Amino acid sequence: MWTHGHTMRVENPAGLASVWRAGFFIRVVGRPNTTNWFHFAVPTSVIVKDKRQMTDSVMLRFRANSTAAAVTAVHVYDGERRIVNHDGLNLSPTAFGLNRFDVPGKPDVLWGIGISIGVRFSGSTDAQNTLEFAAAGCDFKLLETVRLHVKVLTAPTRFTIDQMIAGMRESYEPAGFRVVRASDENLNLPALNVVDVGTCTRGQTTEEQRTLFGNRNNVGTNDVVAYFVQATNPPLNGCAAHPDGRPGAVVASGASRWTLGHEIGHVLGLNHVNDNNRLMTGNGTDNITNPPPDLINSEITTMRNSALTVNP
Amino acid sequence: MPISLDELRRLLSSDEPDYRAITAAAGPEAAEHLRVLARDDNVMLASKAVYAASLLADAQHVVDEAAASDEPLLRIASASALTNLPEDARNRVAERLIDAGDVAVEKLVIRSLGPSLTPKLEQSLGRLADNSNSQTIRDLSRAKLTDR
Repeated sequence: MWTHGHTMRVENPAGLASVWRAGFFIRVVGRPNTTNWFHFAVPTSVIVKDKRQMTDSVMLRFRANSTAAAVTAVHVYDGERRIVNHDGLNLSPTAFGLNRFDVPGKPDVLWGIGISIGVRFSGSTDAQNTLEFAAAGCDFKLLETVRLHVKVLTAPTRFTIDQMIAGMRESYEPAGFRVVRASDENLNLPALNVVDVGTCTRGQTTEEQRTLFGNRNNVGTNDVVAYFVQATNPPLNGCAAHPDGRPGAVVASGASRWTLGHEIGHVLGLNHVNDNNRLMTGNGTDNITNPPPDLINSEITTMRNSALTVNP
Repeated sequence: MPISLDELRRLLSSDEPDYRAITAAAGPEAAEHLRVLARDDNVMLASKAVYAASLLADAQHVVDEAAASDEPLLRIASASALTNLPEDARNRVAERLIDAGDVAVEKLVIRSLGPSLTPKLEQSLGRLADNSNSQTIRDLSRAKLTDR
């Protein structure tokens, strides 16, 4: 869904030397050494054919007269909720192209998309501080969904849970699966903080795993749970063996950025491969050679066939 | 063919190493490699090296060394490894770990102990049976003292 550039609203009109709306774009000239925000309201069909849409990415077509006029931030809102912020940008394209900004997690769209563009005008002349917006838009998609619940006994130390989920999404989303972080809970279970995983074999669980995986507050039948523990016994990055009807995995505090996605991959039915460019490498996700690691077609089919990936 | 340091590092880097297969493939040269890997900056890798060392008869000093580490994950790995050690060595390392004040370590240590306890271990178990804040540890300690 796109909206034309000349629908754009200026947050601080006093910061502009001029605004010109034309058939083909809106031209803004900023005052020297100012910043401003420009807002696009994107017409949003939140439900199409009884399916709630998911926000995939937003797009912007604009050009700058010089590097002194630069887009420095792109924030995306669904109603009043900011769903992503891309900060630290420095974009001054000389021609209208297509700049795409990902929305990680591909959240359901509820209330309507707004795109806010932060701009810095650092030039000394009007010509230098000229920026033209042609259009802004949002791609909506329907993706299969993995609903992930996070239960923390000990937070990981090498990478944050946010980083691990971001890593999981980097592998899953291009394969057509979104990862919804359905809930977070801290569990005070010190005796299970180092959990006995035995041989960590699919279909076989220890008494401690059965006890730990019994903690499924707010978890639906086809939802998966990641239990973040200090360590496993014996030491593993993680283990996806789980009791029947309680799908999930444990992730140790020293795990890699990709371990979470790897273990949930096992939960969805995937096996190890001997390829360090793939998420399911059996050689250690610390040794991923070309991140993000890939999921191949046969693995995607297996995941689609899992009851734990929910059709849109 | 002797296993190299890099090969051992690669095998232990797996998210879920197959310890039995690794140690079956490792010869006497692996003990020194494991000693090196147990000091790696990647604590996850180091903890796996500690556990693997417990499965090699001539590398068990690595487990002993890890028991004295300042790094909690290495102490946990050492405690996980106790069950693979002969009883004398196990009791010696267990004496270093059981008073660590870490419920997770205490649990692993107590479960690893056999019927033959040293006086120091008996004393520590008695203290834990009476005073531990963890019901699990109190129960495990009492059971171990009863079963010996």
